[in-house]
Parts: sequence; C-alpha cells; structure tokens
Amino acid sequence: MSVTKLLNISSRSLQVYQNALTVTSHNIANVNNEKYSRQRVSLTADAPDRIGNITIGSGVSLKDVSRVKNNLLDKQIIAYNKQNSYTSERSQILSTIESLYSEPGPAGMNNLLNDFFDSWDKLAVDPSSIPLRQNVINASNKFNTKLESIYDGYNRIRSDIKSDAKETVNNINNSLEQIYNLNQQIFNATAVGRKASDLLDERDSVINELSKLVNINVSYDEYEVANISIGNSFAVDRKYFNSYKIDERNIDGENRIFMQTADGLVDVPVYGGKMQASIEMFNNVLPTHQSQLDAMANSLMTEVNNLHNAGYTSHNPPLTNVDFFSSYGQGVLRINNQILEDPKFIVASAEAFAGENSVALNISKLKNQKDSGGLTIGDNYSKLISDIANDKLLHSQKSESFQMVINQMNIQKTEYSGVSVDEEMVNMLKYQRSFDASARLIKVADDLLQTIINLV
Amino acid sequence: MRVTDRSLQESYLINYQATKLRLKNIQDQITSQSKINKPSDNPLGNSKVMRLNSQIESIAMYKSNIDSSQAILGTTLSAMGGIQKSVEDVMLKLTSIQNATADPVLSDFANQIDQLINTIYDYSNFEYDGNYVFAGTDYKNKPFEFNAGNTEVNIKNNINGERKVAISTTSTQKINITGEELFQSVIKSIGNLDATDAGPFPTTQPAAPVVSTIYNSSGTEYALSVQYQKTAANTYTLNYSVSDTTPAVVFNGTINNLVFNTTTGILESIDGNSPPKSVRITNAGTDLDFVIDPTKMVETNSAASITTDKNQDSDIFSLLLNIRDNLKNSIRPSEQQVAMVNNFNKHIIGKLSEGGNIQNRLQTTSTLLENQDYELLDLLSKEKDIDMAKKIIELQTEEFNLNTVYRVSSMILPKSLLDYI
Repeated sequence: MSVTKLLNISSRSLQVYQNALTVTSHNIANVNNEKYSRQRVSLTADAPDRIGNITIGSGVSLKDVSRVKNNLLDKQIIAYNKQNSYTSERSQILSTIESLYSEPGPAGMNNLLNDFFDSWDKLAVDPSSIPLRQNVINASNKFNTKLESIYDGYNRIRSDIKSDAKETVNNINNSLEQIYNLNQQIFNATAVGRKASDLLDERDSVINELSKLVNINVSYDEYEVANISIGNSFAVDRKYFNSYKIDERNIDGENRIFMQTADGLVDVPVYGGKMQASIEMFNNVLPTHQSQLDAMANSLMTEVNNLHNAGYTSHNPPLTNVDFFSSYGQGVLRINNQILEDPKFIVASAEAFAGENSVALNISKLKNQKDSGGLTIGDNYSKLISDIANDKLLHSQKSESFQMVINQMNIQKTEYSGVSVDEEMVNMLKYQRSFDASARLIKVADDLLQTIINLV
Repeated sequence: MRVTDRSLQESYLINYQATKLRLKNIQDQITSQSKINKPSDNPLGNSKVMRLNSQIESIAMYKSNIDSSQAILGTTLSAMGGIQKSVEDVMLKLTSIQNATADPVLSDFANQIDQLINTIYDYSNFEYDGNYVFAGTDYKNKPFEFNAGNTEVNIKNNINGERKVAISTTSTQKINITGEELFQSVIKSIGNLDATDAGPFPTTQPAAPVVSTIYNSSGTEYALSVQYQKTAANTYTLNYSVSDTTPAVVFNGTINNLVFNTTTGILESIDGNSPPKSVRITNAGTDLDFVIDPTKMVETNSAASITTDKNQDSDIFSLLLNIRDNLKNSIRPSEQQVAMVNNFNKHIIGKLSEGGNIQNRLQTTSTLLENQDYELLDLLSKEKDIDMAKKIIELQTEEFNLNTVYRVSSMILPKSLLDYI
C-alpha cells in the first residue's frame, strides 16, 4: 500500500466526517422544527484492495443520509386527525348554539315560557285588571325577543359556517397546490437517485394539515410522489391537482352547501375532517333545531289563538274573534297590534262578563297540556336542549379521546423521528474525534512522505 | 425507546394542560356556586333543573293565587257574617212581633225591619278592590238595586258566575259565593236522563214530572213541576209549569236545547250558551222569582231518575220587603213567612260554613304547597349546588399538583448534555 493511499483514505475520511458533522449540525439546527424528521448518516467501508492473499481496506465512505420516519404512525395520525377535527369542530359549533339558549338560568327560554303562562294565571285571578293585561304583554314580549334572538343566532352561525367552509376549501386548494409543487420537486430529485428528505418532511406536514380539513386517501409511488384523493375524487399527483369550491343550493326550500370540484361537475362525498362538521351542521343539524323551534312557536300561537279568539274582550260592547298572536315566521312571533295599542283587546273571559276568567285559565293550563306525543310544550323544549347538550357532550368527549390518541402518537413520532440534542452532541463528539484522528493520519502520511523524499 | 427533547416538552405540555383544565372547571364551579353552568355540563341534570325550576315557579304562582283568593273570600265571608247578623235581628223582631198586640208597635217594627233590609242590601252590594263580591263574574255591575220607591230590589241577571282560580296543576277552586246561591231561590234539577232512549222523538223523561213546593214573597204556596222532553239524540228541552194549590196551572215555560256530551254525558250547553248556566224564572202575576238549575244533570245509559233540591223557598229581599210593607199596614207576617226567614238564616249559616270550608281548603293547600316547595328546593340544591367544602379541597389538591408539575418540569426540561460539555 502506498503512502498516497494512506493520504487518500485520510482525506476521504476527513470529508466523510465533515459531512457527518454537517448532518449533525442540520439535525441540531432543526431540533425545534415540528415538521423535521431527523437524518441519520450511514457509513460504509470502501471496497478493499487485494494484494495477493491479503485484503487491505480502503477507508470509509458516506453511503446514505436517510430520513428516520415511521410511515405507519403517519397513516394512523392522518386517520385520527379527520375524526378528531370533525368531532372537535362539531363540538365547538354546538357549544356556541348551547350558549344561545342561556340555560339553565333566569334568562333562559324555559323560564320565560313559564313566565308567559304564569302571566295568564295572574290575569285569571282579576280578569278585568289592565296592569295584569300589560303584564301578559310584557311576558310575551320577553319570550318573543328571546325566541327571535335564538333564531337570529342560528342564522348567524349558519352564515359563519358557510364562510368558514369557503375558507376551509381555499385552504384545501392551497394545500393541494403546495403538495403538487412539492411532488414535482421530489420527483425531480428521486428520479435521478437523489434524496429529498427535507422536501418530504415539508410535504408530510402539508398532508397532515390537509387531513384535518377533509377526508383524504394518500398513496405513494416508487418516486415518493404522493397521490391524494378526497372522497372518490382525484385531488393531486405529480402532474395535476384539482380545485374545489363550496356550492350552495336550495333543496326542499332549505339552503344547503356541498363541496364540489371547481368545474361544478362533481359533488365530493365528505366524511371526515372539519369540512364534514361544517356541512352536516349547516345542512342538517341547525335546520332541524330551527324546525323544532318553529314547531314550538307555531303550536303556541295556534293553541293560544284558538282559546283567545273564542272569548270576549273587556270593551263595551265586548268584541270577539281577536287573535293574541298575529303571525309567526323566521323566529319572529308577533303580538296582535290591536293588543299592543290597547290591552283591553286581551281576552280573559269566555263570556262578556268582567270577572269571567275561563279563557285566561285555559291559556295558563296550556303549560301542562300534552300533545299527541304525550309531551307538554316545556317537555318539547327541554328535549331540544337535552339533544343539543348530549350531542355536544358526546362529540367533545370523542374529541378528547381522539386527541389523547393523537397526542400519544405525536409523542411516539417525536421519540422516533425527533432530534435528541444529547444524541446529536454525542454524534458530534464522535465525528469530531474521528475527524481529528483522520487529520492526524494525514499528518502521519505527510511525515512518511517527507521521510521518503529526504531519502532521495 | 428514545426520549427526545420535544417528546419531553410535549408530554409535559399535555399533562400541564390537563391539570389546568381541571383547575379551571373547579374555579368555574366555585365562582358560579353551581355544578351545572351550561346544559352539556350534565344534560340529565340540566333537564331535571329546568323541570324543577318550572315546578317551583308554578308553586309560587299557586301560593299567590291562594293569597289573593283568601283576601277575596275573607271580604265575602265578612259581608255574609254581617248579613247573617242582620237576619238574626230580623228573626228576633219577628218573634217579638208574634207577641205584640198594639198596631203602633207593628209600624215601629216595620221601620226596624226596613233598617235591617237596608243593612242587608248594603252588605249584598259589598265591594272588594272595586268588584262586587256577590255579583258572580259580572262583578263590575251592581248586583242588587232598589227601585224608585224602595218597594222592590231588582236582582240583576247573571250574578251566578263562579270565579275560579288555579291552586294546583290539576285543580281550580271556586272562590266566590254568588248572589244567586245566596239570595235567590234556586231549584236544582239533579239526576240523569236516559241516553238509550232512541225515540221516536219527542219522548218524555221521567214518565211523571218531578214536583217541588215553592213560595212567593207573601208565603203563598205553589207547585213547580219539571219534566224533560228528548227531541233528538243527546238533546232535550226542560218543560216546567207552576200550579197553585187548587191545583191549576198559573204559568209554564220551556228551556230549550239542553245538549249533552256524547262521550262524557255532561251537559255542555243550554240554548246555545256554553258553559251552561241556570235559568231565572219570574212571573209578575204570582210574584214568583226563582232559578231553575239543570247544570248538574247528566245523560247515562240507565233509566231517567231525577230529583230536585232547593236552597230556599223564596228570595229574601222580596220576602222581607213584603213583611215590612204588611207591617206598615198592620198585617203580621204569616207563619210560612217566619219559617222562610228561619230557612234563610239556616241557608246563610250553611253558606258561611261552605265559605269556611273553602278557606280551610285554601289554607291546607297553601301548607301542602309550602312543603312541596321546600322539597323541590332541596332537590334543586342537590342537583345544582356544589359542595363548597369538597370543592375547596379539590381546588387545593389541584393547586398542589400544578405546583408539583412546575417544580418537576423546572428540574427536567432545561437539562441536557450541553450543560456538561
């Protein structure tokens, strides 16, 4: 073996350890980068030289700088992300809805409904009293105002959900474009046999965020290009990426939103992620709640009016056929204008006598009157509140449990792929010492050469 | 298993957040003094709380109704007490009159009885809160009015309306004594008519009319016959006739369209008026003024069986005015008239007792409602209120846990090999 070989081995090993130190420094620099997967240096011995029957090694070379990644964990995190985002988003929206009702409390609809019926009960004790009639109007106004504010709240929430859904679709589109660009860059590198670890980390991060927005299916080809579909719709690969939009249509008199391809040709089935929560809440849950409020208000109006317009006002001569509520629509329950202008139009009596109170008594008894389902108006309202509360509780508990699983998986991921400063410090020391040793070898080789030269 | 810096940090943050969340929940409960601040805190508990709140409000309502009713009833009974005292005085006078021998004394008695009539008249028009207590539901209009010569008290129609208030979820209570039941002669027709009678209509039920004895204010006796005629399914007329003692029919009449409910058999309307009311009958020729009340009649699937029940023989005003006017003309009251005054006294004592029973019922119900209120408040408290001592201990425990987390993390998180190289 010549001295020059010694020099060559030493200089190559200098380079190898310098590169290893570079990788180590890259790891340390990215210690707090959430997206980063640590890179590991693979060293290999060079092919040995044969001298007769003797084999002499040729030094070390850098075989590979590979990303340390657990793909199985990533797939599981993506799967749980869509469920967690769905339950979390749904729970948040339901929390907002729950706050509209102000239950349980004095400002809640339950209390205001009771006050409305109680005001009729009070009027029944002294049916000719004008202040007690005014009390009925006040109690009804409080109830009507609350109903209207709840209904407006629902409309506002629906409008916010729609805006949010459009924002989400924009984010989806941006993510898909990003993934498309990264796919191309990754292909350009891997097609010529180069590693694209940082680009892969970047793309994994975008895919992870995308999985929280909508249900995605991800597969990879031999060039590490990610092919993603949303529902059954092609979303992105190396050559193309799709765009989406939110389409709003009126179906059966109700506005509904759908996620569609940008060309408007295909409705995308959404069954996961934040988008599923937005669409379900907008299309089904909120309209159902509003329908139940409508049914309750219409029933109240009908029942009260049926009793009211069969009785007599306290005018002289008394009048009949006077409704208490004039109309209901879109959360607005209106008291008859005649009554607002003149409380004498409130009917307490079934006969034209000032002390007759059967209408007022019967209206107050509506509080405990059961419908065909065996429920009072208060029971129906309580059921609506319970449904909202149970829905919210269920999804927030699910979200908590999914979040716990995701947290554990993220911890496992950082344990597997994360940078340990202590580990990198040890590597740094290792490679530094090796670099020093290789540098010393060069010195030795130089001394040897010098000795040989001096012989001449 | 590798433990990286980030895994340590993330693990710390997750557990720290969980501790803070527990602390926040305890803090929310302590500051609001309630376990349930929103429905999703405890959906079932919230449902119970809403229901309990409704019940507690209802009880407050019923207690308020009872308080108002006690005031109205108290005034009514007070007026009735005054009337009864006056009637007792009349009875004393009549007893004295039976023993008097000189005419001038009779005219004195006439004046005294006139004063007592005025006292009874004033009490009969007693007001509470601007409403006449004996006017039934038409309480804005004066029920009893002297005519121009003070020879007659005109009794307004429709003084028979019952004032009812709700005193519980399932029951209402009549809180007035009507002018009709107190001052008028009311003949109640009680019993059942035969629903199985299929005609051909008209048919008569019962086979023989039911007869009651009534008197005019002079004490003249008459016989009132009542019989029903079925004119269609569930529909009847009530035929009445009044005969003198000969007997000869002096006048008769019909109350039309008594319609019964096909399912319950209860009387639903009389002559198109619902709810059905008693009917006042007056006849100037006989000086009769009485009320027929068929409102308690029912229609059942059994043979017709009817009785009558009268509260008194004649209205007291007409009776006393007649006695007064006779005394002015030196005519003593007849034994029948004296007996009728005695009957009225017993009648009013009976009504006072009825009023007293209503007061007792209201009082008993009020006590029951109080007890129910306490129980409901107790249940509400158990469902909603926090156990402060327990929460304080939990708070202290969580605060200790949080401090421990801070301490441990300050020992572990900052350390690495860098500190030693």
